Amino acid sequence: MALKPKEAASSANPPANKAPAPRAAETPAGPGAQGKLVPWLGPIYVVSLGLLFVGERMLGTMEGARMAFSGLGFVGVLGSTALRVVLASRERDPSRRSIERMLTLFQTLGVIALGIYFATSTDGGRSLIGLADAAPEKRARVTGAATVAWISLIVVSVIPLLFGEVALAPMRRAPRVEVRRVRAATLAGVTLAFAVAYSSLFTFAAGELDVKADYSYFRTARPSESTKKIISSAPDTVEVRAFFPPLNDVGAEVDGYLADIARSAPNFKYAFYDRLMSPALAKDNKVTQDAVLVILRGPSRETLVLDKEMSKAAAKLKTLDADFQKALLKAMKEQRTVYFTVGHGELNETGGQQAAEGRSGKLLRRLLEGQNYVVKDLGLPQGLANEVPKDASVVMVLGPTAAFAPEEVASLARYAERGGKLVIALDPDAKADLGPLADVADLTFKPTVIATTDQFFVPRRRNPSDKANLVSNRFSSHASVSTLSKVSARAAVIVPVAGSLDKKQGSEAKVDFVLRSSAGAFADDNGNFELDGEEKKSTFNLAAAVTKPIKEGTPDADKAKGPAEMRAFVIADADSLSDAALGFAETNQIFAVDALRWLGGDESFAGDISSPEDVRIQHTKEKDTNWFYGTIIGAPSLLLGIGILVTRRARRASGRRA
Amino acid sequence: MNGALLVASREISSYFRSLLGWAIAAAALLVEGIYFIAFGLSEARMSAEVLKKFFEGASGVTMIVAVLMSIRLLAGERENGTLVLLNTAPIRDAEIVAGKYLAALAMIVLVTVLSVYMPLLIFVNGKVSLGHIAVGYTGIVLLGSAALAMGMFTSALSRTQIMAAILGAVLVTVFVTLWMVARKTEEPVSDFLSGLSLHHLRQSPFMTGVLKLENVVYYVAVTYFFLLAAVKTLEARRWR
Repeated sequence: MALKPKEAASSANPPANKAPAPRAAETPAGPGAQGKLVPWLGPIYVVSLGLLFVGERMLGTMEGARMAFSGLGFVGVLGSTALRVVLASRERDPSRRSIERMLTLFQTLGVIALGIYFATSTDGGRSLIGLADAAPEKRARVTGAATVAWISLIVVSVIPLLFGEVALAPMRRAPRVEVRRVRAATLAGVTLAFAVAYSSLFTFAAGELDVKADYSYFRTARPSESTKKIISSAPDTVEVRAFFPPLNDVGAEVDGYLADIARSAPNFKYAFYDRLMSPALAKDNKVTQDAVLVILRGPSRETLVLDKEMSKAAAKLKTLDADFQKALLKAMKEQRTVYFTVGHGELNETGGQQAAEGRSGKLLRRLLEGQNYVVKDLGLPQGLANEVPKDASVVMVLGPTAAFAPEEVASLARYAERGGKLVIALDPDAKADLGPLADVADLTFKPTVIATTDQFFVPRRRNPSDKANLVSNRFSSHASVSTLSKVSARAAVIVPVAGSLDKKQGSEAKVDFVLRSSAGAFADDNGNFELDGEEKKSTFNLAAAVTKPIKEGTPDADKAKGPAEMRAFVIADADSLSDAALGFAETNQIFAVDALRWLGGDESFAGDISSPEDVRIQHTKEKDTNWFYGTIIGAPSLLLGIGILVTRRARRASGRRA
Repeated sequence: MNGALLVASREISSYFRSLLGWAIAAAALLVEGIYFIAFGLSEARMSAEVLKKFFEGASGVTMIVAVLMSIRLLAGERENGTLVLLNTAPIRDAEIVAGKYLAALAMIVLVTVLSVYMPLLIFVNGKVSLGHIAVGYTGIVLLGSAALAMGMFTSALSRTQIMAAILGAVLVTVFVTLWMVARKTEEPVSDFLSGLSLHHLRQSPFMTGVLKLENVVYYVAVTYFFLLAAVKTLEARRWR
């Protein structure tokens, strides 16, 4: 409440009719003997609080210094308050007594704040009020509320006290003091103190709510659903120890990422440590540099190294989710082996011009390594004609252009019978019969190229052959395509030059055609990419997920890795797993990874990996000159020119008026 | 409130009639443009990084503009002897402070928005989102608002404009550099100081396109507190 000027004036000069001038005998003679001490009480109190702060909050680890500072501060606060109480009660002048009582009240609030602090923040205090034995939740609740209370009380104590002392200072030695003036000052102090308190509380509460809207075009990768599912699937706790310097920018980004995971996975916990402040912990975790994440799950430990400088770490933060998931999978599961067949012109062994054009399996290999697989070759030298190695978790046949020997096919069939996991990517361009390979998975393969009459294709050469570069979003609800089927309205897989699949007659296998062409597709028998002659529009099966139970008595059935059944994922176009397709469409990567997860029994981990991309600004010197330099010089000049015109016109107008 | 609007309209018209206001706006654009060219577009950077660099430069310029604009608001009136006219006018101290603050804030918003062509240039060769640009500008306006309120407070404290400028610059600099002090202290003091810091942790999310309620509340709280302190400082003439 502001004091109106007239009120202030009246309080300073009371009207004669209301308060007659006191007689000489009644006129107070200024402060008494004790008055010499009173001006020091406020400063002593504030300095004592400062000593307490230093002792408790800055010298907490140095017991001797802490005791000295805290003890001195405590004595100062209590002593100055007690002395003020005594002196206020002895004060004979009613105005001075009123002021001293008011200031005593503020100091008392500080003493109460200290009482709350010592009762809830020290071992002795907690034992005294029975908080030491309380449940952790109750203890945390009481401590939190007490912290807010004592900090608020200290603020409400100190600021008005200082304001009151400032207002009182010029009147200390005067024969009369103005109560209203001091009261107005303390009231201003109380207002500001409350403003500090509730502003802080509002900010703190807003922080706890963690409400945010993210409009960033590029950002640090967020944890994907897949990462969250992997952590949630762990039967025990997954812990991350992040070693970052305090208040590090990269650490703040990582903190946001880990906090997102912690919100959705109750079995996930994380903490940040300063490597230099926790040397023993750093040593235990074999951390010798900053910006390191240690992922712990049971006895497994994996390390992910970033950079503490934001300029260097930015690139790694973009792929944080993929890198974190890779490390996480290593910690979660033992490393598995996937064999790529070789010796038949497969995608994974092409080189030269073909590899340069994207007919290569390098990206697929990288994806597999990201899923904690070791990739090995499997051909005749490795014994493919006899038996698939026992450590094979998955065998991949990626677009062979030459036929497999009957012995090799038989070996793959035996592997499938005993519960093996296969990826068979066939290609209509192959100049060999790939039917026996499809037969391993109880399917038939028609190498006739599928073209389309509708718009579901990718133009590449701008001629009719483009109609064979199919795209499709017709996914089944099978686990091997679960991520894509959820977003099929906006996601499609590229299937360039595909054949088609069907279930083998009389097969007992369970076949789910997980990807089909659009209804406007047709089998282009004559190879002209036009619907003519006997060709008919239909829907064709482009990929299949096949399962078959292991027959009883199958030898080596117990050596099957992953789910106890045969699983095969067959694609009628190997090019959809080539570098060209995987590099062009992220959906094809999801297609491959989900299929692989299903084969390994990790279908519950399905979900895309978050990896946002940014666009680099490529600008030339000419553009810099024309666009940018021109604009920065032009805009300020234009603004200044307008300003000169406007102000001149205003001056002329005011001159005319004058 | 009418009194505040009256003061605000008078202040705004004085800004437009004075060449100083236009010169400050042009200088701000020039400095922001130079920073944008020198640090944002100096090499082939990612679009989002260029935008962040622009906001870094713009936030610094906005704080300087806010302090420059604030010094004359009350200290200038006091130095010219015209504050007494306001004091004797039938408006409250809070209305004087609010009116002058609103006028200066409007000018800061105008100066800030005038630079929008720079982030839009990123669309020529790069790719950013309009939401990101809008959030960045929101952050700069909030930062400018807080810096202006601090300047307003020091302007209310000072008898001369030079003293107001020095105090304002010191106060804003202290609040900006608190995060550096926080790095040298231990928890919970470091948490407190970094949470109180005006720019570092609070402004970074805006620059990257993330609008956090906590940061908005912080800037509003700082603005509110210093405006309240300015009002109380004006009122203090009755008890000092």
